[in-house]
Amino acid sequence: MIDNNEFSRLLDENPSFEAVVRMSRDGLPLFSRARTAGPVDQVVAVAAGLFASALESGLMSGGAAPRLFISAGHGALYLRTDDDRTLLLILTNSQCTEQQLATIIDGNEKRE
Amino acid sequence: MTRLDQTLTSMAHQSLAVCRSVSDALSRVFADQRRGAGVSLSLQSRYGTLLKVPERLENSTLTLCTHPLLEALHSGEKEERIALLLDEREWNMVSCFSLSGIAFYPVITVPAPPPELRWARYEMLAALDCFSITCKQALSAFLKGTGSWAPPAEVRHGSHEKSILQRLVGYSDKVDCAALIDHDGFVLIAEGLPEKADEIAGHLALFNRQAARDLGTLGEVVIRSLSLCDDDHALLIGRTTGPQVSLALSVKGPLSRTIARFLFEAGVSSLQVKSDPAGRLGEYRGEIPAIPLWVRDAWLLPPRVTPRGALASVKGSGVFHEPQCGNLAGNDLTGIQWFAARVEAIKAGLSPCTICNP
Repeated sequence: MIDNNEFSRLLDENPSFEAVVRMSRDGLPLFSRARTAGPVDQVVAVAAGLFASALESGLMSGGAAPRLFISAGHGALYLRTDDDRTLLLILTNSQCTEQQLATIIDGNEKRE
Repeated sequence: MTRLDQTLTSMAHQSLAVCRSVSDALSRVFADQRRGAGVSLSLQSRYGTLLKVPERLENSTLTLCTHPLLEALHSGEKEERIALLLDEREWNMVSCFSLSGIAFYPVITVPAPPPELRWARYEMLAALDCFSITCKQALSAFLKGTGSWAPPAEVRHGSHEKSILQRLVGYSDKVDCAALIDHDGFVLIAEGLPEKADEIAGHLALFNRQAARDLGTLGEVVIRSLSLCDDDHALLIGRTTGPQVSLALSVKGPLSRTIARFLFEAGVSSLQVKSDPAGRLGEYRGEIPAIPLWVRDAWLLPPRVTPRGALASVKGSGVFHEPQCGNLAGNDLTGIQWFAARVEAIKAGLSPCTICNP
C-alpha cells in the first residue's frame, strides 16, 4: 500500500501520470493528487461504478487482486485494490500498458 | 495444431540447448555454479514475459517489459537490433524483431563473467542470435496461422473471422473463449468452451457498453481496449478498425494477462488485414477513419477541437479562423470546413477573422 505522502512523488517521477487517487470502494475519494484541477470526484465515481459492476457480473473475482484497465484514446485508467476497503486509481495522459503501470505501483509498494 | 504453449516450451528447450553448445567459453561461463546461476532465456513483449526458462532464475532476470530500452530498440519488420545491458551482477543481451507489427524481445541473461572471460560476449551474442532465430521461426509460424490465412473465393460472411477466432482459441489451452461483438453488444461469433463462450463474451460486451456510456459522461472518451483481470484470469475487449467490430478474449491460468494481450494483439492484427475484403463480416471500410473533431488531452481537462487543417471556417459564414478561436465555439462542428493554408481559404473567397487574425 502506497503512503499518501508518496502520491506527489509518484506524479513527479512519472510525467504521464495525471492523477493518483485513493478511494473507497463505493466511490468516495479519500486522498488524491492531480496535476491539474479537474473533476476528480466525477472520474472516481465512474471508476468505482465500473469496478463494482465488474465484480457483480463475475467478470473479476473479488479476492485475487482484481484490476481494471481501460486504454482510451487520450490515456489510460488503472484501478486496483489497495486494501480490503480502498482502491487505488491512476489516470495517465498518454498510452501506457497495464504491465507498465503494475510494475510502477508494485515497485513503489515494495519501496514502502 | 501446434498450440502456443507447446510452441513456446519447445522453442525454449531448443534454444537453451543451442545456447549451451555455442562454444566452450560460453559453457565455462554458464557452468560457473559459484556465481549462482547459468543462462536464462526470456521472450518478452510490451505486455510482459511470454516465456522464461528456467523458472528458478526468475529473480535474476531483468524485468524488461517496462524498460525504456524496449522503445529504443523497437525496429521495423526488416531489421533486428541488439543491445547489451551490463552490470556487476549479470549481463542481459536483448534483441528486438518485429513480426506483423508486433515487437518481440528475446533476452539472454548470464552471470557477469570474470574479466578474463569478457571476450566471450561475442559468443553470447551468437547465442542470442540462435535464440532469436528460433523465436522468429516459431512466432512467424504462429502469426502466419492467424494473419496470412486467405479465405476461399466462395467464402461465407464471417467465416474468415471465425477461422481467426478458432485459431486464437486453439493456440493455447488457457484461452476460454474468443468472440467478435458488434456495436450494439451482440455476440456475432464466439469460439471456445461452448457452454461459456456466449456467456463470457456477452458479459464483456455489456460491460464494454456500460464503460463507454459511463465514461461518456466525462465528455468524449474513445475506448481502445478494456481489460479486467485478477491473479489467474484475464478478460480483454477492444475495437478492431477493419470490420468495425470488437474482439473479446478470456484467458485463464498463470501468465493469463500476458497471453491475453499477446493473442489480442495478434487477433486484432489479423482482423485488420486489408487484402481481399470480400466475405468479411459486416461492411468493410477501406478508407482511414476521419480524425475526431473533439479530443481530450487528459481525463481532467475538457475536450477541445482538433484541427483537420490549419484553419477553419463555419460554412456560409464567409470568415476563416484559427482552430482555437472563440468565435468557433458553440458552432455545429459537422458544418466546419478546414483549410491547409491561409491562401487556400482566401482563394475560396473567405476573409480572415478580425478576432484571431489568422
